[in-house]
Amino acid sequence: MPESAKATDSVIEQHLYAKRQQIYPRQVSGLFARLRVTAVLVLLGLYYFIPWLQWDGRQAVLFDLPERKFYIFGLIFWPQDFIYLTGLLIIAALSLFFFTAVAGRLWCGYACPQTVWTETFMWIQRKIEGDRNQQIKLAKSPWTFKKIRTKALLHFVWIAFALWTGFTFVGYFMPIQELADRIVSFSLSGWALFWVLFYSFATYGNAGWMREQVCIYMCPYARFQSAMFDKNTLIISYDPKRGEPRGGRRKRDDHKAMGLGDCINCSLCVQVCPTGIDIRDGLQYQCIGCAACIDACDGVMEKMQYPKGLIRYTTENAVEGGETRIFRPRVIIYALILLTVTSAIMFSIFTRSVVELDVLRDRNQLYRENNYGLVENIYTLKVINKDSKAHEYQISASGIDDLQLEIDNLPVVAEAGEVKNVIVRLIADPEDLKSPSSKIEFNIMATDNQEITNTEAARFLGPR
Amino acid sequence: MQKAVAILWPSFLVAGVATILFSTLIDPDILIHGLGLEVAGRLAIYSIAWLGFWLMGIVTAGLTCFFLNPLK
Repeated sequence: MPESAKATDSVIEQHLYAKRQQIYPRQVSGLFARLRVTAVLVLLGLYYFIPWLQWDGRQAVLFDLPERKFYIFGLIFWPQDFIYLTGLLIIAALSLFFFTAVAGRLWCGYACPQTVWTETFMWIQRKIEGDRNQQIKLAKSPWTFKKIRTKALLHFVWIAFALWTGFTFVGYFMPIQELADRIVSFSLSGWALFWVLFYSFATYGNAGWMREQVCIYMCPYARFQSAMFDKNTLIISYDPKRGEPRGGRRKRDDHKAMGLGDCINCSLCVQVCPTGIDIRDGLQYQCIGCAACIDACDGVMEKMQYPKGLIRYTTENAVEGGETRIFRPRVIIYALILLTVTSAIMFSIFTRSVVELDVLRDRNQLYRENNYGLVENIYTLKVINKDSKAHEYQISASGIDDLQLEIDNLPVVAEAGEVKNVIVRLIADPEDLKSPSSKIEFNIMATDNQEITNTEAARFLGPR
Repeated sequence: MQKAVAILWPSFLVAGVATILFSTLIDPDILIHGLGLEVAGRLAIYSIAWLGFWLMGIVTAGLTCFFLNPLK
């Protein structure tokens, strides 16, 4: 291996395994900071508030694992509706593709739980330890009583907030009121307690300690998002043509005469960066697109009375002096697929039947001839009642002339959410069978509501 | 550190997916009655399943990391 290549390798290796430098992002104000704070408040507000909402005398949003029922406002899903969860994940993935192609890492900068909780934890830290400089000073200072007291308070508040977060999380999976009562009366089951503590610990660790390392080392999206980027994707970029050569100057200096660009090299853009990068080095995979550097730089440009936007949301094409095309094939195709899948799933959810039928053939015997010379097939029907109340059902079969249907245990009643096994005998005259395997259909209908109905195809076997 | 993350984290994600699949396809109550396990109910089964899947993932990822070491 040539010496230079070896050197590059070791640089890369060092970079990957570098000991982490603690990052103390400077607080920033401006348009995008306000947007992010709004996003944080809305998202966290929803997260902590939704489990307390009521609907029809029950928790409005509850993924009731112990009961195997999933309530989302007026809708109830059963494990049999697994297909919708798959659909939801497909929609989520497609949305991520779409938004990434158009607007880059919008998700990372404003909506990712890692960003949202880290932002909150940093806010708590600023309230307790002070601004960036005070935080750095405190970290460097020896362990005096005051430092211990400040750090203890910080971690106490962090842990309390994390515990509330973990409690809320479990409140999505078991009734939150019951959960609260059980915690107060110390009668929480071991596993529920385990999950509250586990999620709290994850929040405390990720938002308090790991922070940008989660984005850099653990997030799969950060690794593959570049595949969805193109030259028209919105990115945060420094304008080197305008900014370079960078250098210090006084406000009244004519920097153009001095041969300087607009960048005054104040390094504020680096100080505010939550992942500790220098945006002036170009697009980097560590950049989570939070736009803190834009706010910081715009503030400086305003003070210097230079035009804003030395660092700005732009696209690779625009930086190179070309035009940005929003409607390009990639975006249009993502949008079309997203629309189609979303409307298909919505349609299917709102028109789904609240009774479902699965047909299983008797495995021991294909068919048998009874004492009267008629052909008999036996099936097990699984009747799944997805409604929120019990129903009695009528089952019929069609597809062969004079097909008789016999059920031993009548009536067929299934409680809300119950899966009822019903043994059914179908009897046909061999004269009526046109082939050894005839296509038939089972129909099911609720006796009290004729709109609750479903159909399932099956086969009826007979002699050759 | 990075190796630990590379082992723990992907197996954590996969364990989540595996638990969802497992618990959708199989009602843990059937397991409880079928095996005669009188444990604390479905939540316990889900949790144990998840920990089990995670452990399996950790073993797999750990072995992968181990076999990536060049022979000496």
